[in-house]
Amino acid sequence: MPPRIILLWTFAMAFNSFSYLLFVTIVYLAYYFSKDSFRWFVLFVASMAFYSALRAPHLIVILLTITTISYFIGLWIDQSTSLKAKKYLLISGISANALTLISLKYLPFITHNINIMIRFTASFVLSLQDKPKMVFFVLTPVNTAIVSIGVSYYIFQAISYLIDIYWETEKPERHFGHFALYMSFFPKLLQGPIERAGDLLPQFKRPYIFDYDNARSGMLFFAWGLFKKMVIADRLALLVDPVYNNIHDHNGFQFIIATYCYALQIYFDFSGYTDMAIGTAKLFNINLTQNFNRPYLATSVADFWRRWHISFSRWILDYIFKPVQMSLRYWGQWGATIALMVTFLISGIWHGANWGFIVWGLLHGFYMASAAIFRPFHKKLFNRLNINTKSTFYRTLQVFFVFNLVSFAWIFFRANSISDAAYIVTSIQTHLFNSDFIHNFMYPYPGLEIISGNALILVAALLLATFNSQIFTVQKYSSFYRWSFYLALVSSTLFLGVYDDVKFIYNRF
Amino acid sequence: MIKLLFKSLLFFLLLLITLNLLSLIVMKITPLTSFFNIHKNAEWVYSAIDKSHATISNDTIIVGDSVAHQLIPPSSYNLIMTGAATLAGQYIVIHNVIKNSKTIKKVVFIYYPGSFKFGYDNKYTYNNFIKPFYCRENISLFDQSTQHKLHRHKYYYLYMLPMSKVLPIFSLIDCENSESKNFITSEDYDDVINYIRLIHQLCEERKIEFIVISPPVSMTHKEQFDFVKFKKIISANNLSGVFYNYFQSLEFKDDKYYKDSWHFKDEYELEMSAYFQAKFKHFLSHSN
Repeated sequence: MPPRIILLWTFAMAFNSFSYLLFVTIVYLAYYFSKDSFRWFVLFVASMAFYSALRAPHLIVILLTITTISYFIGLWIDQSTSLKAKKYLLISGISANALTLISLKYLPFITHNINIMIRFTASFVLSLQDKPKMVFFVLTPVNTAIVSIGVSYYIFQAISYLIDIYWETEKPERHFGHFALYMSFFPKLLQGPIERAGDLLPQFKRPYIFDYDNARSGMLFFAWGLFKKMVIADRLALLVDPVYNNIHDHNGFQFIIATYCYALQIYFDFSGYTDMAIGTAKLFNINLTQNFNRPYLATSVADFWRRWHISFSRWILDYIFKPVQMSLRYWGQWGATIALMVTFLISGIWHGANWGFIVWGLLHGFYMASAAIFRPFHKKLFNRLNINTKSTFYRTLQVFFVFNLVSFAWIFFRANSISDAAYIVTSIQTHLFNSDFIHNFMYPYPGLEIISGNALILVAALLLATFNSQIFTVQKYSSFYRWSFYLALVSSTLFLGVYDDVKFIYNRF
Repeated sequence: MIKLLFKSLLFFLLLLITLNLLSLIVMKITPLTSFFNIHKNAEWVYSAIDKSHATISNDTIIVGDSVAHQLIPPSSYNLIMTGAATLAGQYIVIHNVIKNSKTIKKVVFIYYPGSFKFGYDNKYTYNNFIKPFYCRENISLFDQSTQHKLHRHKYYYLYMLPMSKVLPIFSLIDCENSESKNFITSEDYDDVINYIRLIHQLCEERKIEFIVISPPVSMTHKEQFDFVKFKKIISANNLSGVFYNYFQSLEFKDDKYYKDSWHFKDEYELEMSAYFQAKFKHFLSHSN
């Protein structure tokens, strides 16, 4: 293998790295010059190379194993004539996927918490006895260093694929190569979007015709995503991280500002990644799901979930909420409430083995469930008070309220531990208007630093969060404006971007 | 496809021009804002360069490396940079300060032995030497050997462009190429000899006293650095006179004072600073 190929191979290819740009260029040229029947292979090999750049060989083994298992179980479900056999096959397929996910991501968390419970029980029981007679064993801690990057995303794809075949809404894919590519397609491998087989598989089979507009649009998506990640998200991280990583040096006011900044950071980080994924895929004439639709303009938490991580929220709606709600349909309102809590609990757990994610998920479940329970009372109240729910003022209030609810939940998502989150929430209530509040307004560091020094970035972030999708209308303007915009976009990314080793937030899920 | 390739090429050309024009603007407004942070990782170097372009109303200036930084408090006549600024960088700063400040009578040069071994592509050298010093106005001050070594680097022409001084992406070069040895200074101290000689000549012409002294050296560094060879080279090049104080004052301290065999631990910094200033009081004294 020539040295440069080895070099390319061994680099971990983050989307915001030169090695990724080089990699995409090579893959694109190989794809362009290949025959149609061979193109899936080019993308599959590229996806394997991309994944192996993480230098975790077990990930390739797991991906191929999950792909093979899901492929064959999908075929068998389709071929089975008995409903019972179909059901068993589906359960075994889901179990294989879920167990892989649990063992990779959650076993350390589970054993750690079981050990805490064993130790607590042991100390309690032994304290009751004068002469201890009981012996307690703790579980061997599981290595937490096992990398599981990308696993949650393709396992969710595999599960949805199997369920869709079981429900007979999809036909199984007979071409193993196409199915393997559906599971591993590199632009969406590490952070999604979580694609449905029915959306993605047919696109791999279409003959490729070079489309200038599509290629240009792909490049614009990529450049825009890169700008959002490197200029906005990573600059906001410079404000958020010092506060969240040193909670005892900060007060309530700083926590509020840092939390708002984090709400914007995570949006630009994740949506930036998605734009880059969409842009890359567009080069190959493949359209991925748009994962975000200006989520902070949502007028309710339910509306937020229709706009935030759309491929994921559609997944949990279709494959968790709806089946759970159906099974609890005789419980009426309470059935829907339980279904919501279960759905968002799983959503929290999916994000990782951490109590913070679980509380974050439960909070969203609580928001949604209470909105559902109190909806009739709201309606009655508003009618009686004659409140115009369609007025701009009312909608603005709703957006503000929802943004604050969502931002509050982000505290648990971002805090380094559940105790840190509790400290932050307490500080916001107890140490907001103390003497430090005035001090922080008078002196720039660290309180005012957040407001003044990076005001431009914050204002830009808020504007972009509002008008994000309008950016793509630039393609309708004349060449002069278009080229000026492109130059400004790339130049500002190069001038204002953060080039330290900053990771994508959603990579770890 | 041809249309895409042609337009991409055209775009990159326009981008290159835009980036360089914008870089020139950013360099002009940098004193007004730290937003672009173009001095990142080399604040001491830029501070010394700024001071060297101003007039210093003192008869003594102090130059040196990061260890010297721990020993001498900040002041208008403290132009201490880092070892990674290399002797070429030290020479340029001394040259400029002597040219701009006519009151200088004494140059005190405090250098840790290992700093003499800094090449032009070591870790930190891009941010501390190439970026601040490798520009058109300084080219004539580099000796032939330095110019030759810099031109051997495949990207040297890029380092002359204004954008290389401003774009943060160039700052990564230090981290990524820390192991590369494209144009490193050789072990025979050619550049050290050349630049010490140039500084010495410059001082002699202006009747300025040039004093080279060493900070206390750790026992580990004593083992690592070949003092015998270094002394021999200095002597062979007739620079023993310049290095007289250096070798005379050389002393070794227990490793417990050091965090990395070069720099002092934070808790010993004040103690060592007071000790060093007392020891070299006669050299460091000055009048305003």
